[in-house]
Amino acid sequence: MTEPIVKVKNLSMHFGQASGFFSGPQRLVKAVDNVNLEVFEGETLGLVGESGCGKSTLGRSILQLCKPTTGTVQYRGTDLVKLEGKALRKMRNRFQMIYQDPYASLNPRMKIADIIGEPMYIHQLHPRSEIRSEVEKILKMVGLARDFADRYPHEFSGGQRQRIGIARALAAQPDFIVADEPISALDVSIQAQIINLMRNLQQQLKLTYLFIAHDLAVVRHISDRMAVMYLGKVMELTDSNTIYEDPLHPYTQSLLAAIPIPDPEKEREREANRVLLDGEVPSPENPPEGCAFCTRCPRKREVFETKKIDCSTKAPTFAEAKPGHWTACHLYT
Amino acid sequence: MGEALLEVENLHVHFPTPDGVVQAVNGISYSLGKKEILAIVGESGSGKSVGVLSLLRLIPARDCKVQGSVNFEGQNLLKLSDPEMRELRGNRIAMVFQDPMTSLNPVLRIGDQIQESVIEHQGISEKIAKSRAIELLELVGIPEAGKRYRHYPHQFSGGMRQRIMIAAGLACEPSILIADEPTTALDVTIQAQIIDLVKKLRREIGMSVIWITHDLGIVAGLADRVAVMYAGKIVEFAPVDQLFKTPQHPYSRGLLNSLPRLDARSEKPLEAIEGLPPNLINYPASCPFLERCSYQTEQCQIPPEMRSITTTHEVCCHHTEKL
Amino acid sequence: MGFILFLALFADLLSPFAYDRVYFDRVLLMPFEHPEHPLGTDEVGRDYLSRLIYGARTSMMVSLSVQMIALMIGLPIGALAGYFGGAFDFVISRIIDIMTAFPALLFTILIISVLGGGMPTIIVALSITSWIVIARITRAQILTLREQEYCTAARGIGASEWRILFRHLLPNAMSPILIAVSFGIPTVIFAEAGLSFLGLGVNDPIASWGKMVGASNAYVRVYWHLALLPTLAIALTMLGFSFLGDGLRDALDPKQKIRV
Repeated sequence: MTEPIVKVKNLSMHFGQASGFFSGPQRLVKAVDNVNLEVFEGETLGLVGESGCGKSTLGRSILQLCKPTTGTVQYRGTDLVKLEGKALRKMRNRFQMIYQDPYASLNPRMKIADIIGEPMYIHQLHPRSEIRSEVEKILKMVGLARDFADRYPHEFSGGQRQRIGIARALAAQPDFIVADEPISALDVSIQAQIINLMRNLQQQLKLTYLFIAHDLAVVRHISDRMAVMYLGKVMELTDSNTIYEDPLHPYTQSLLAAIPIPDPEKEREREANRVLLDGEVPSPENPPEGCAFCTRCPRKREVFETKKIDCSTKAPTFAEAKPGHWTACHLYT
Repeated sequence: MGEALLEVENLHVHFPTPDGVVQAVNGISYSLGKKEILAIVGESGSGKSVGVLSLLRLIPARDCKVQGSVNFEGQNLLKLSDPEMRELRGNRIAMVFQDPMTSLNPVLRIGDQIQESVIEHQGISEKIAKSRAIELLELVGIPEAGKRYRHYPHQFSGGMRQRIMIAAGLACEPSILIADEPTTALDVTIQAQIIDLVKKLRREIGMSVIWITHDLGIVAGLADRVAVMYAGKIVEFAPVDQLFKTPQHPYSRGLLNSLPRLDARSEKPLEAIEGLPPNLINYPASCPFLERCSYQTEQCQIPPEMRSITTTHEVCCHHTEKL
Repeated sequence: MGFILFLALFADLLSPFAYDRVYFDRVLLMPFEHPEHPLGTDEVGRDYLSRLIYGARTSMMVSLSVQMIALMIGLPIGALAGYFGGAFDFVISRIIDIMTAFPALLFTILIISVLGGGMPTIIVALSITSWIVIARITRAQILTLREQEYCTAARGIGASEWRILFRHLLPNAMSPILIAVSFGIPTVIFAEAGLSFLGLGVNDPIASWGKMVGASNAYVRVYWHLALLPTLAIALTMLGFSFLGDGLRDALDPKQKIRV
């Protein structure tokens, strides 16, 4: 593989709940806890996890849409966390985001032409007189008619709006895009359109994606490598085929088992030997002391018997269990 | 399958709005057998929820016009008076909705909410009702039911609340449970638990289920028969294996092909269905799928009728033989 | 509504007489008693119709200037407090809290007592209480809109804070603010009328509906029109502006533009 375009080191994002007059002692939510990741040029790294696992927060803190508590994010050698104000704003066109909610992420009082033209204008990517024709070019690229430019967001369907959101990201001429659940608000038949569009654009424009989603099937389809998050931590990271064929972490295993496959025969087969995960994700305000997954882990006993380690007190480290296959579980240390 | 428990015939639901009449449901017919799980699949705006909620008059009558006939235990539901309908809802037919966060009353203890319908419909004493409620909580897998019975909704997580909703629905031993996207707001691991619970309940207490969803994955593992809805019509109605193995309608086929598969990665692009569903106000005079269909011919200008291609498999398309 | 504005603008042309022209021989005429004075005259012999028309000008002048000043002060202060937060927001919020808790009328009376009467003082005094409303609404609007995803998206493409505030937040915040302004106008008209009624309003001989009601106090048992006509004028104007506010609310509601 080529050079990493983004290198995330020991990134943590902790939210302190305001300790106001009446709210008692401050509680710390570790939304993202000590994450290490590398995204390589031209690849798609998928980031999956259930709601509240911190995957969106991770995406946002990589792009400095919220300032991480600790850690570094190197984009082509520049530490973005250290950049402030104007210096950061000037670099922002290089890395862009596609948002989950196509309704909330477009300013309702701006015309499509202005929404897509804004990054070009801010970063002076084109002479002002050419912005309009550039906007039309990008509209065509994302599969929209050029006369859409003079209309307002509310005139469009969810799928069309998501195309507009993608167009806005592309207008900045980025090489790295974080897509935060870009299809989860869309209907099934529209989802495939957007996935195909994103793949085509990636090939045409040599883009690098960090693709965040909760739907493993979608992530597997689009990404080269995949990271699985649970309670703010990355549990497993390897290429997408391996994660399905040879998942190491017990959480990944149970997650895969829980995802329904649209094939009745296979489902019956799987049901016979499916291990359902008990309980629920613990509150991130009060995570377990040892391994984040220990409260639900079906293989906790096995760890204790084979490794003589108590998962609920000792947290595993995130290490390379097999070449290119990283996981955070005592079973593989 | 045996005899039908619920029979819906030629149901239409129209919403008059200032901009015109929204034809949300356009003549759907289906039946639900005893102990059967029927899945109704469709995208947003396909009429999948409206088509079911209107049966129980859960959409205010002043907002919509409902036509057709709905046969349940020998009576036409659409002809019932409001008190008769109330008697039926929650008692003979129970419902679980998508959002477990808002469907429970936040200021009432969950035990009281479960008891409520039993006391209301069956007129049994509070003491028996209480033990029944605890029993139900245990049935749906709430640990320490005796204690948690006194808790308020906010003390439960989303998955737990959905279990409580199901418990409340089951309180009167209904013959039908209607579940409107009950797992959409939940995580996959929790979703798997709920699906497992519903299957167990069907086995153990023998109720029928209508499960409304957009997720074909859930359908594959859960349903006996499936109705695929598009633009207010059922376009295909088949047993689950037949639908997934030999989908006959171009839309069902397109949906199945457009899904990325967890169990088989391919480098090929997904087969997306291009275009958008039709506007339900200016409802097309042709086949509603025409614009997005790759098999279209002259004939498709006339909307197709539902027809049987095997004894159990019905499709609404002129061109099934081509597929 | 438009009619009142029209009266106010063209009072000079429309009135049959000057508002301060006194006819000593025609004091306290009933309506239609004298062909030249269709609505009669007041206690010092001024044409009542003319005074009503000029009263519209006073009401409009006071209320529109007050709301303009309130908008000019309240909008930037509310927007800055809402967007940047911090110490500035804390101070502003406390001022707003204190001013809201204080009875506005008493406060205005206090200021007028200190500064003396007259139209400019009234405008100043009413502005001091009116900007609070605008600032509070603006701040609340900005606070909610700031969390919208398109605002994050604007930051994501590298827009500066000022650009986000002016291009993304304020245009979306404007409709409730404009509605508040249009509802504020009748409030100010009423306040001005009240103050003038109490004798704290505009100075003689300028016509003001409130003052006209106040002055009619002594004669109202016989000369009912002196009180009734200006009261009616106040009521109709306030009603008009309330309708305008309602209309604006409906017209600016983005939901109504969304296609079903």
